[in-house]
Amino acid sequence: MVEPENNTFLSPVKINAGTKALAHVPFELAAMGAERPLLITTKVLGKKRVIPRVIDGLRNSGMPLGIYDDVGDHARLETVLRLAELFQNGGFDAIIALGSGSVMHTAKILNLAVTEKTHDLVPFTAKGDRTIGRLKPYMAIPASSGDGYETTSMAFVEDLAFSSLMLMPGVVMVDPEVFAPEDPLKAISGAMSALTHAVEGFVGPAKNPFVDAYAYTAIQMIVHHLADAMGGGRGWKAARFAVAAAETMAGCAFSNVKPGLTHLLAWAVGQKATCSHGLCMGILLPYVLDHLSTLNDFFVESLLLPMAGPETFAITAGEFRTGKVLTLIQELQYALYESTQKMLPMTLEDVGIKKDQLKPMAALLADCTSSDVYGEGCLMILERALTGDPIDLN
Amino acid sequence: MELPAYYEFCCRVKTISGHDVLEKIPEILGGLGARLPLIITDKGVLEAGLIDVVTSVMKDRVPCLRISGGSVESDVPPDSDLTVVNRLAGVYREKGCDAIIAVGGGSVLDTAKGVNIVVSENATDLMAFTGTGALKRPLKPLIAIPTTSGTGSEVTLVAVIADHEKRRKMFFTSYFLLPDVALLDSRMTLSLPPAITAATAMGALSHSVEAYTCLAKNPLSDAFARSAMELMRDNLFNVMDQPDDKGGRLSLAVAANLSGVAFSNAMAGMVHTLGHSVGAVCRVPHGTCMAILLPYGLEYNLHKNAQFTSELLLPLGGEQIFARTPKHHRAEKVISVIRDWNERLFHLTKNKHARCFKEVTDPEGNAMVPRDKLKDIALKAMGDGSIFYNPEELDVDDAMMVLIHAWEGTPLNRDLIRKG
Repeated sequence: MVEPENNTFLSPVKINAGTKALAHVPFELAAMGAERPLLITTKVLGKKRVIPRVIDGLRNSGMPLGIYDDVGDHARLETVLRLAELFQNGGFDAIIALGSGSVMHTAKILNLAVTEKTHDLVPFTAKGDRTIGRLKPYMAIPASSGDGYETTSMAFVEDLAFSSLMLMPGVVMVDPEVFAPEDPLKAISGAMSALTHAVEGFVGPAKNPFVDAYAYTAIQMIVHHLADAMGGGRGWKAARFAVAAAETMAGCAFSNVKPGLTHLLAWAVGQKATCSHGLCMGILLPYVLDHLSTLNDFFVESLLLPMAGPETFAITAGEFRTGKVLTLIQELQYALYESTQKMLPMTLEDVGIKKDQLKPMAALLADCTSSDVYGEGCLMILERALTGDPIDLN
Repeated sequence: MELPAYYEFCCRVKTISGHDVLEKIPEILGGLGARLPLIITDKGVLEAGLIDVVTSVMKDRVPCLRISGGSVESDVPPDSDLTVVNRLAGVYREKGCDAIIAVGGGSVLDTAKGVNIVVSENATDLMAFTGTGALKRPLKPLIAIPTTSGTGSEVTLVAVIADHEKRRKMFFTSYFLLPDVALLDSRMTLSLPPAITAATAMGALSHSVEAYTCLAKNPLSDAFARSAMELMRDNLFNVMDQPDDKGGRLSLAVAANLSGVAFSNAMAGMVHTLGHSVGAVCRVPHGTCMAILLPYGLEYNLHKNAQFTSELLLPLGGEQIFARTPKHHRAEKVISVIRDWNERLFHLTKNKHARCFKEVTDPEGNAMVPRDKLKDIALKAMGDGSIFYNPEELDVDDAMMVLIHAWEGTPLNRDLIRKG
């Protein structure tokens, strides 16, 4: 166990997870002091059979509920400002976000706008000079796979980037009934974002017991349930729900650490790739871990415990644990590859990256981050991920 | 992996840990929009000089934040009291305070939470705010600075205030009661005497172990419990050997906090049921009761939850012992590891850390748990809320049986447990 030193941890998120979680919505809103919530979602979700049922359920609970279903696929400033007006004129006092990605980004910044009663949000961005204080009650209900930022401290609206633990939802309700089958690649992307965020929190360098606890649980749940969550078999809903809960926990861990190398490299790759940030992270993760295992201050071998359980962990000698971890991650990816009828991209070539693009990517990353921890390794990682170079597990 | 059909988890307190985190108080107050805190503590903490540590960092860092402008109040009794709450609320208003800093253990924090309700809601009658859901909005900023590594009350959402005049206890439950910030600073626990270090650490261990092995567990409370146990395994005996081990002290404080999070999200079982009762009837400190009862609780429930108990061998015993012990012996090994810890602590504290109830004495050396009180203790235990989360149903006869063994210090005869 790594000893805690100077360390700050905050996860304002209460997680209610499981069967009939949504029946607790009125209680949780009341516990936050809210009486009149505005629910926002997207029209695409509204077309799925389950979502209108969810909304009806909330309406029937006797709580006055405002509904806005036109958030769209991307968070837009115009939408935030229109919603802020609606919120104020309608006398609402809390926000419920139902969905993923754009809905959650919009909800966070809507909350900022209505709490601060301002249209000028630029000073509150990561580059601005205003800090974000305590906001209004905000509840999130994940209902589809997203970009991995849902429960995090980060929000992006057009080209504005916000970061504050205050932006995180006060309560996240994870209910199996909310989920409908969806595009497998989208689901894998969301899960791989969460897995990467949890793994990078867990291996360090800023490892601490609080981050560990959220990350450990998220890793364990994703590794055990992701393949079933994709399968569409009998236990599908339970598995999908477990993955959604894990995505929430990974968001809590991620909000308390600096983004790791996989996250950053995937961002650089994502500028040129034909796939999402989450899928890029999935391609890069084993190569990054292989590299980190050669550095001090990273604990790649410790991943074996949440991934494989105590039995395997204890009987695997220390020097073989890293190899075992990398095997398990690759096996997981291969299982997903099979379950998507080989649609899942496994290499950077698969997502349209060419060899001559790698150097500029590594340079871009060096410009944007203090990548001295990772050094020369970045280009090597990208080169190996380009063609799916086999990892030497010994 | 098995998952509960439904669970809730919340750990909303901002937790800052380190060797010099008290220095952040001015900045934290600023962030909370506060300038004049009321510091609430008790006599023991004041006499140990811990308040000086807290106030000096505030004076030095922000001149306008002179403590004379705020107030230090140190008359919190061991059992939080309504009259004290009301008086402190008066001080808060009179001095124009705008935040509360609680420095101490569970009763100080309970008192601070009570004061916070009174001053935030302008309440004249606290009774109106008892129960669940009575508080509707955030209270005034509250910073908690624990001075023992045991209760984890800095992360719990309940407060208990005794109304001695009307002979009743008032229970408050709300997320708004959670402190905004908990500061874990190694200086606050550095001077804890060995016997108290031992008892409070075992108290924290019992929070984690029961959270992990009782009925209301969930995957996140499990992870917090596991982390806490690892930290205790790696640090408790180092600190007992070297009380000025700052790193070890901090780790124990963090372990107690993690245990508090696990326990407040997963509840506890019969170790708490019986322990609360021994505390109430015989005034034995909480940690001491927990240390003695913990192996018995595991033994009693073994036929129900051996699976969970055996998993604890990894965090408590370490990889070697876990791998070396055959699967079906691990749960029993966990129980013997805990008994072994108690035994070692008994010797390291020169026999002050009691291994069984007949060894518990007050500062004057008088026995605190007379054998003839065990019946009262068993009867009183039946009314404790934690009994519902115990894996095996505990009736008064079995409670009595467990208490007799815990008094004598002999292992349970597991064949005699009434199995439901």
